[in-house]
Amino acid sequence: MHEASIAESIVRSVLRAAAEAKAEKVESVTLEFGEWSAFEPAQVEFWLKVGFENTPAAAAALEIRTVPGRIRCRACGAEGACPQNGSGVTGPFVGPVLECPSCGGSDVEIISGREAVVKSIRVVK
Amino acid sequence: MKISIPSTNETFDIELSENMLAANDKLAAENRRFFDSRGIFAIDILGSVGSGKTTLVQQFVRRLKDRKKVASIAGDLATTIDADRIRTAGGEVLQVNTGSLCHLDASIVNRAVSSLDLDGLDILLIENVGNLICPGEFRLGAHRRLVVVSVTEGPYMIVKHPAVFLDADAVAVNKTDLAGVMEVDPERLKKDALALKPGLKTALISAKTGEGVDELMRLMGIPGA
Ligand SMILES: Nc1nc2c(ncn2[C@@H]2O[C@H](COP(=O)(O)OP(=O)(O)OP(=O)(O)O)[C@@H](O)[C@H]2O)c(=O)[nH]1
Ligand SMILES: [Mg+2]
Ligand SMILES: [Zn+2]
Repeated sequence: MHEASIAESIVRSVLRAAAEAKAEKVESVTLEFGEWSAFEPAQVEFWLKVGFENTPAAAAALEIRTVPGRIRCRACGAEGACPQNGSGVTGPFVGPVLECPSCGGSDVEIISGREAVVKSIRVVK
Repeated sequence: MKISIPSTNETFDIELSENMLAANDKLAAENRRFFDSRGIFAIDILGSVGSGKTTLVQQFVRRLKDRKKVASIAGDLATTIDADRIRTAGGEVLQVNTGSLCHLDASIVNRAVSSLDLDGLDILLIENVGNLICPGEFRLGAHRRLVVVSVTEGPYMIVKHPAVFLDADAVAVNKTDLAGVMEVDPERLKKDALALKPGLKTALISAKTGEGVDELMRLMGIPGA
């Protein structure tokens, strides 16, 4: 699934950086995923373990951080977290509403919360 | 890439901040520039398996083909069934088989577009692989993203898959002709979509009978609608 393809990109990027730094071993890898991204951390972790097998990153510890979702209003320029919706929808749904936290307008853009980023790695030389 | 001061003698932190979706996003932006330079209006059509994407594409093509030059790309894991179906409605159609890949991405669209006859093309309809999760992460460069949900998927489809709707421009609640037997209220699905993203364009449609399709096309601002 798509976690496998994102894991493949992560493996490539980590191993390239480690090689450029002439590192012997990758000790840890820190990743950031947006709160609204459809990447399931446990799945990513599974595919990373597979991808790192027999590489200098085989024993790397993985840290996966979640980046909170934020929006910007095109009407009033306000930026912030989304209001949460706990009612008015089917079932026990609690989730973000893409609505300006300040003026209530709906012409908003997502400025964070969708990322899939390799933040940093720790290597041993 | 920045190598920071060693935290011990032989351990280094390397700051990467590499966006794993950047390559796709960059290609998507390239696709968009290409579409714009040729005056092509592109639509990415997403939805679960069997929600009615192909049936809706057929409706779009039938309504547009006399006024606009329309081409379609049908994305599926296997077979040319959908392309063959769309061809009966008219316009040029290209089938893309993704094998085991659960979504289209910008590079697939980029390659597909280069094998289409682009001369005078006005509208490009891109049917994504049937899947309500994975395609959400991969922008294609289209001007609109339409998500098709249908009452036969039950009442919880939207609230269970919020991520894909955050990036959508429009939602079609399909198969309203079956709402009675399914005991699913299409208005409820529409409300769920709007509760998530109040700026969404929403329409209740039946891709089978054609009901609501004209309104959906108008709401989406499809040229010639
Ligand atoms: N009753 C009814 N049936 C519909 C409607 N829209 C689609 N269908 C039927 O639903 C089935 C699936 O429709 P498709 O258009 O193939 O769905 P799809 O989303 O393209 O499916 P995949 O490409 O396989 O993901 C077909 O048998 C259609 O005839 C509708 O509005 N009402
Ligand atoms: Mg189809
Ligand atoms: Zn505002």
